[in-house]
Amino acid sequence: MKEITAKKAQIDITNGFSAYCIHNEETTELRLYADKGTNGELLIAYDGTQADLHIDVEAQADCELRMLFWNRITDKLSFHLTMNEIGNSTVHIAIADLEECAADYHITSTLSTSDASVQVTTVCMAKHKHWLMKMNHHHEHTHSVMRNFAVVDENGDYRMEAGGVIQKGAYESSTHQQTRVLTMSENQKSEVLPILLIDENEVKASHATTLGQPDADQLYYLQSRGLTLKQALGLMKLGYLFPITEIFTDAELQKQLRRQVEEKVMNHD
Amino acid sequence: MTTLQIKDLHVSVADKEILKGVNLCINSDETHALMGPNGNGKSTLLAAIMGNPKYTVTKGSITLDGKDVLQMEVDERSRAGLFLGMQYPSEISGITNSDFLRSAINARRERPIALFQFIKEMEQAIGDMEMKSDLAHRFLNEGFSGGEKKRNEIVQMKLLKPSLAMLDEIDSGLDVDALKLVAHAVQEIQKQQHTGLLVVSHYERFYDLLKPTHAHVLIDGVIVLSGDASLTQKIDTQGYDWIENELGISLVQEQRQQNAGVLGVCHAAKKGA
Repeated sequence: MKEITAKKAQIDITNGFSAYCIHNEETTELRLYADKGTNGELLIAYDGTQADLHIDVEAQADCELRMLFWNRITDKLSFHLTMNEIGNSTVHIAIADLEECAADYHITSTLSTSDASVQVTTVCMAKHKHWLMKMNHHHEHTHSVMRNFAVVDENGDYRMEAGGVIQKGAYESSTHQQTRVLTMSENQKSEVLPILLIDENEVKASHATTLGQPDADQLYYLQSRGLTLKQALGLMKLGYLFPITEIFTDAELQKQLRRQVEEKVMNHD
Repeated sequence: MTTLQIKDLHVSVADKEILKGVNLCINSDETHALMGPNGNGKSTLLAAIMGNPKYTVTKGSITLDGKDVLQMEVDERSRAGLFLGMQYPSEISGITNSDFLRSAINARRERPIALFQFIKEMEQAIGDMEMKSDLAHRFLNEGFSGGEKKRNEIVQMKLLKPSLAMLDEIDSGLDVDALKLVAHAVQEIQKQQHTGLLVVSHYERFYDLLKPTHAHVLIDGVIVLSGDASLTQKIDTQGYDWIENELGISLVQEQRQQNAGVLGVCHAAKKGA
């Protein structure tokens, strides 16, 4: 894993897999650039007690990009991700935050090229995690998907405001979002705000939200096969967090991510 | 040799008494057919044995090889050897069959099952039940057809190897071929594990394949009649009216009796419709 310590840096995404780790407790500006036709997978982790990250993704035409942002900050994180220069490419973004730190996320994308597609998947275990996500469709045939999963524990504070905006003229575009929140206590605060602003007729848009404590029938079913209550709850949590492991195409990488998520959940319990 | 002993079991749901003194003893290698009109307590009995928290045991005892089942949590009952193949298995998104089953197997072992051994056993069970090979990677029961859910229950039973298994209308939703497949699989498990079986079904066809050693009729929360497999045949041809007449008891009519009558589920329901 290559290290990034500079306040300003650029990563030129190449074909295949590459991994970086950011060590900088001050503000970091990072530009991720993919040249035409790049088919790359990128893992970016960030270490330390606090961080203020400003990441800008730019992809030229015909790219297929898969990026995982993995938080290891322990105290306070401010995370800004913008994707305003996406050619007719597909960009998959995954953001994992399984730490106790207080984190604020701002994710925006402006889709201004036909056939540009952005898919964002977020998973978190929430103490204080606030997310603001916006997909702006400025051009016809642009597509966005937002999938958000959260496990909110005792005293947790989760907020997800996810917006899909399809402007006039962006016909045959689509924006879909789903947010699933598993709350583990009555003493927590979770809020999901799905927003769809549609100013064009020939479009597809949808949102779906589930928010609540573990289902009693599901727990009974799992326990009836021998799992203790703790194991059953742990398995249900993993069900909310495992979607992040699908970001990379390589089966071995997926396995490693699954192990990391499992460890985090087990240590957390 | 495993023995499940139920004595004078009374069970309530939301303060309404459903079971009113059930006595039953099931040993290894025995197959008990449990019949009765809808709404008379068959599923309640199975759920109470498994420990479903919605059901409250108000009186009586359940022991498994002398151990007090009522003092056990649901998961402890499972690890003690009880299994309930459910009528309506839960769908759980995000958890794959594979993750779930591996966790369930490991929950009853001191050391986790080796991955290779698990994959081998799971693929064998999936193949035996003629299910698609992607079953392992699909979310637990999510998007499964009725028949797939029931076959998946048997996949679990094969892997968990219970000493006493209860099947709650596991035959509903199965086509003729799948019915034979499930019956054969259950018999194979019984042969290998000497499993005691308590089977709820409305259909003689399923019992004919399973060949029960005992048969019971549960009416208004009490087993009113016990016998051998010929009892299931008699009910199949004559319904439950003769029991009402011979024993001088009244059948409890399920509240959804009109639907049951239309579907022709059982004679008693038709009568009430």
